[in-house]
Amino acid sequence: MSVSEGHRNLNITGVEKRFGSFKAVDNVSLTVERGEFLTLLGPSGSGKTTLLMMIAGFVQPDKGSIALGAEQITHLPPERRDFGMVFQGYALFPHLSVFDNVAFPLKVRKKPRAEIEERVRSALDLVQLTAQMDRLPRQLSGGQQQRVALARAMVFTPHLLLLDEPLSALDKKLRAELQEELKRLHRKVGLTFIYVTHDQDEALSMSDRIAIMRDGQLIQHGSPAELYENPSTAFVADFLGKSNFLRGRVETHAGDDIVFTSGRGRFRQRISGAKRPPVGSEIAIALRPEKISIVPPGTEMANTLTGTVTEWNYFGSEFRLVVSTQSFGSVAVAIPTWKSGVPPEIGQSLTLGWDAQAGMQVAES
Amino acid sequence: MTALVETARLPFARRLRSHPATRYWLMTAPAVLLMLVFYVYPIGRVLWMSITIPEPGLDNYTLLATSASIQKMLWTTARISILTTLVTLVLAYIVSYALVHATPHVQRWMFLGVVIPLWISVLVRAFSWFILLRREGLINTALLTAGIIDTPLSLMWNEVGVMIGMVHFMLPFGILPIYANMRDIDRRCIAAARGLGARPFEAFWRIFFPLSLPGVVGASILVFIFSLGFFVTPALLGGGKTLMVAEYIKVQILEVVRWGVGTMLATMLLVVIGVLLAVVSRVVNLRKLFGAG
Ligand SMILES: Nc1ncnc2c1ncn2[C@@H]1O[C@H](COP(=O)(O)OP(=O)(O)OP(=O)(O)O)[C@@H](O)[C@H]1O
Ligand SMILES: [Mg+2]
Repeated sequence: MSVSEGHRNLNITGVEKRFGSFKAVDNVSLTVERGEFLTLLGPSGSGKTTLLMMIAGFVQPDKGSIALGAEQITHLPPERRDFGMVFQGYALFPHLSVFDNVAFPLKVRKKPRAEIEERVRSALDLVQLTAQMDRLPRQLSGGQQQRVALARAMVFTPHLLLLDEPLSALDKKLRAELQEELKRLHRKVGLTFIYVTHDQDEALSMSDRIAIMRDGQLIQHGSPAELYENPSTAFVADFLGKSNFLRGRVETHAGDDIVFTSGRGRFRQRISGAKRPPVGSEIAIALRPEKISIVPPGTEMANTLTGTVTEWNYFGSEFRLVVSTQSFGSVAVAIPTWKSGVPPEIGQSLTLGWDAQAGMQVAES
Repeated sequence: MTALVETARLPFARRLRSHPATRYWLMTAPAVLLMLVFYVYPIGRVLWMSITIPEPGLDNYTLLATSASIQKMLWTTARISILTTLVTLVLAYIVSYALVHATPHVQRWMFLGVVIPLWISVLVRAFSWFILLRREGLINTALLTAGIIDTPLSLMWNEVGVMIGMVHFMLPFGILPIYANMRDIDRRCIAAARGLGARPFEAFWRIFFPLSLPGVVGASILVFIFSLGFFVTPALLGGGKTLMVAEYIKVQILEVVRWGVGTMLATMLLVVIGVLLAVVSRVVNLRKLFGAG
């Protein structure tokens, strides 16, 4: 199974979908490059499925257009788009065997029998299900069903593959396995994947690019590292990995840093160039829990903050603490277990420290 | 065995608590008794009469092979029942399809339309058809004045009339099982079929239709069995000319007083229905079909 020649980019321009007066998808523009693994990530109800359904052709956008390369497909019915789709819950045909499920797209395309046989076999080979070929979907495990759905969606070498939370029904271990498998498959066949999930870890580990949605809008898109390191808004910073938000007022500029105050504390944050906020303005800094460390009292560091432990949890590889502070209220801190030495105690007071480069300036909302 | 004796000696109330099964038996006992008295006993009698009246032996049953009038009547019954079932299934399928795809609001009204006839007496319904189908009835008058026909169609006192009335009566029994089955079909499967390249009709034909077949099978048994034993409508709209088995039995027993023949035919009817159910239950899950478990 190789990528067919005419593989093209998918261009989504200003699409909008209303249900009544409610905008489920609001002015979304996005280009998906060929061969890319793009993830649509967002909380429940943010319009991911609706957007995917518009791409697949099951839902008609009220505004905007969708094009594959130069070809307008906005109003093309789903069966003429040649997109593979894996539905949430898989939607396997319950009365057809695994083989016939996978053969379906080829049969409706009136392919010759021998070709169907051969392509179905190679697709089943790819997902390692040749042995289960004659079973009915209900005789398969969740993971096997998912692989049938995948084989069925890829067997006709579609222009791109749409996947709507294909792993959400599975338990954690199987999920991790299938994530790996999907990733491997993606690399192997080089097909464009558009993947919907509301699981941020899944998005981070699998995608070439993530598009974050909220209330029907596309908030930010970029590579996982870009989004993780440079979230544009507090929402993105909090949704993609946890963040603390340090809010304060800019007091002075000091070299490449700005100095801001909150409560009785003064803090430094590296912000240079155009993004630098004027003195006196309010700013929000997102600070990842893992970028904070526990330091001995009196340490010379860009930022230190004292507080008391109000909560702690052990996660094997790390401790997660909640530290109550005067300047920022509760601050979440993640410390690798090997670094922390003794387990923390509730009520224990300690000093937190972080570098001037550790935080990221984000827009509110 | 000893355990049984032991249990029997326990006080009644304790036995109830210790043996849930006993409790269930006791609870169903009235119903079982009722069944025995009002079903099993009379049916046993019918069977008995069919081999003893007028004299012991299988004479009544040999009539099946020898009597031309009985054979003709059975053939009429079978033909009308099969045709009624086929027509009912087609109509019921269309209505059910529309039902599952309608908006909830429209669905409510459609349901009312399906169920209301069930509340109206068969007699009233047969007579309503009478008014519509007569030579000078509404349909003929309308067609005549519209100039579509120039001699009135004979729509009743024949098999056509019987079938119209029967299909009308059977429709809800056809619709309900088919609808119940269609409602459970995962709509995403149809969407998936479209997404995988099937045109709307192909998606229906390759996916929706096969998935709806269990409902169709259920409806067809229900309707066919009802049709076989149907009495009122054939009697009224057939005008005595289209004789089906139920009316034939009535005539044998009440008019010509040949209990032996009447009960023999009743027994045959029962056997045919039993065999049908047995055959079909090998193909589909009857309990599920009729809404149990
Ligand atoms: N057919 C519909 N009619 C009315 N509202 C709808 C319809 N489909 C979706 N919506 C609404 O549009 C919004 C976006 O729905 P959508 O299914 O796209 O969300 P989602 O991001 O996929 O969420 P989830 O993660 O829960 O699947 C929701 O508020 C939903 O209630
Ligand atoms: Mg969704």
